[in-house]
Amino acid sequence: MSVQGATLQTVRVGRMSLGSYIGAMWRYRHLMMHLASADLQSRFRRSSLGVVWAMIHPLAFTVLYSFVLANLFKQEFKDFSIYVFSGFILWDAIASFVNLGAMSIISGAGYLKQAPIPMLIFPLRTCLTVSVVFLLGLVAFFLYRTGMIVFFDVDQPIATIYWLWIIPVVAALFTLGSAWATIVAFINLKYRDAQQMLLILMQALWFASPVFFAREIFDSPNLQLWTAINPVLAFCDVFRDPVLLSRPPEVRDWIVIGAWTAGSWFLAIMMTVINDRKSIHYV
Amino acid sequence: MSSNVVSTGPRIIIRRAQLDYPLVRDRSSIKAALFGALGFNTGPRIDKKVVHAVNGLSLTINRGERVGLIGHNGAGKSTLLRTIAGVFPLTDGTIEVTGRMQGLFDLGTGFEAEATGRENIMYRGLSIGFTPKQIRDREAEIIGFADLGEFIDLPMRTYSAGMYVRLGFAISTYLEGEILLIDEVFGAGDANFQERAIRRMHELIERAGILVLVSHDLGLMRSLCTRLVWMSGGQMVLDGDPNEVAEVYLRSMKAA
Repeated sequence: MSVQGATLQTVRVGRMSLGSYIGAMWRYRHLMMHLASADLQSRFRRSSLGVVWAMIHPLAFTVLYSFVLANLFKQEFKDFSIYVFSGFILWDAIASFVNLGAMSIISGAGYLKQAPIPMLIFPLRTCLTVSVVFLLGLVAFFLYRTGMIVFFDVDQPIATIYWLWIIPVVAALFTLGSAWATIVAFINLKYRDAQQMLLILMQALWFASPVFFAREIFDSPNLQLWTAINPVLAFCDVFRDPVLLSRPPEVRDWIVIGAWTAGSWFLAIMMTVINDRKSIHYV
Repeated sequence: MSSNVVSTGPRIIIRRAQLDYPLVRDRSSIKAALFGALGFNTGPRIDKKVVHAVNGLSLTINRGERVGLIGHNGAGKSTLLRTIAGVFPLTDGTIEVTGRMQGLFDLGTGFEAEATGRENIMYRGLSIGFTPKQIRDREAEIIGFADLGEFIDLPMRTYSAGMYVRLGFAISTYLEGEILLIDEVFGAGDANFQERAIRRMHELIERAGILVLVSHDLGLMRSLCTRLVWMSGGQMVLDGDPNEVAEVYLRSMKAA
């Protein structure tokens, strides 16, 4: 691995252009993928059921929440549980992007103090892990929904062409989630209280979004402005429209997601440019 | 890092390097937080909120030089080493490096505790610049050198501190660069391992174009280095022949 005798490059240490940063991200791509794989293995290591827990977990919570909330809201368990399951896996991913993302750079301290690895690697590593868990939850959702249709006479088609919308939904979820994870990771580096505040913020967002609550509640005139800008609501719509209602997602929801994604990534890039390496002393 | 001139021969040019970092005061106790909110300061008074770890230091290291950095704890030696490696960013000044760097610092950290030693070889190797193929090609040699037996396939949380260092040393010394940056790793591992480790280090040093070494072992510095730099308060105090600098340093320590 020595390159003795070869022509050597001179670099100015500590000065990195955006192009150099992207080049560094590309060089460390293997590290990001391997650490994401390590996270997944670690999550289920020494567990008898292993990765199957990523499917059992949302199923168990769905049954539990549906049983309680169906009685509370006087809903039919069969249809309501499918609605709850779809919201659960979506919300679990969004909350994980934020809550796990907040610790992502801190958790990479051992690596960051050894070599000039781009800090952005670590929020993206976390988001890769969260996305894989979401996909496993999606498989469980599909199996559960199919089971309800086949064995419990739920009146929905098993699958339609509109299910292909899941692909851009997952891509959009990862894109926006990565931006949020990056933002909170840098904030939490300097202000460790941020992680605690995020837990409260996310809980509030849960209450203010149709994760488990009926979508119709958010059509109230009092909630018009919030409904128009809430990205979690938009994601619930773009996911449920094709999967539960067999129709394409509305353009309005994609505009909301697109605006949040563009704005969030602008902020994430600014924070990375300003704080990467300078934040090493807070790690 | 921005790429600039392409040239031959490793070189390090440090011009008026300044590295300041903030002191982070931890007010994590509820008592401190409550009294702090009411305007009462319960912690020790800290006069400076910024540490000038490297303070306007200039240094040029050319091909063939083996430079040792000595000084008391907190002089800025390890910080300077990591700044050269790009781990810490400069506040001011410039550092230009020609050649591929290999840093050996904190050998026992940066591992995934739940992963096995074999898996961590991949993660650690990737973090210091190997490609997956290079790591797979060298895995057997690394495992052989670390000499951990069946532990290599057990989670690293079962390892002792010495085993962590063994594995870290074995991985880190299989990447060779023109510029070698070493921070206090000569005492790595237990007595059985040290003989092989020292031999390995000498092999690496022989092949490197430049060596920058931090150690408190003056005897080692005198034997290995062609030049000694005495640092204090982030600044250079003396730079020159290892024996001469070491003598002046030791006299000043006795006088203090």
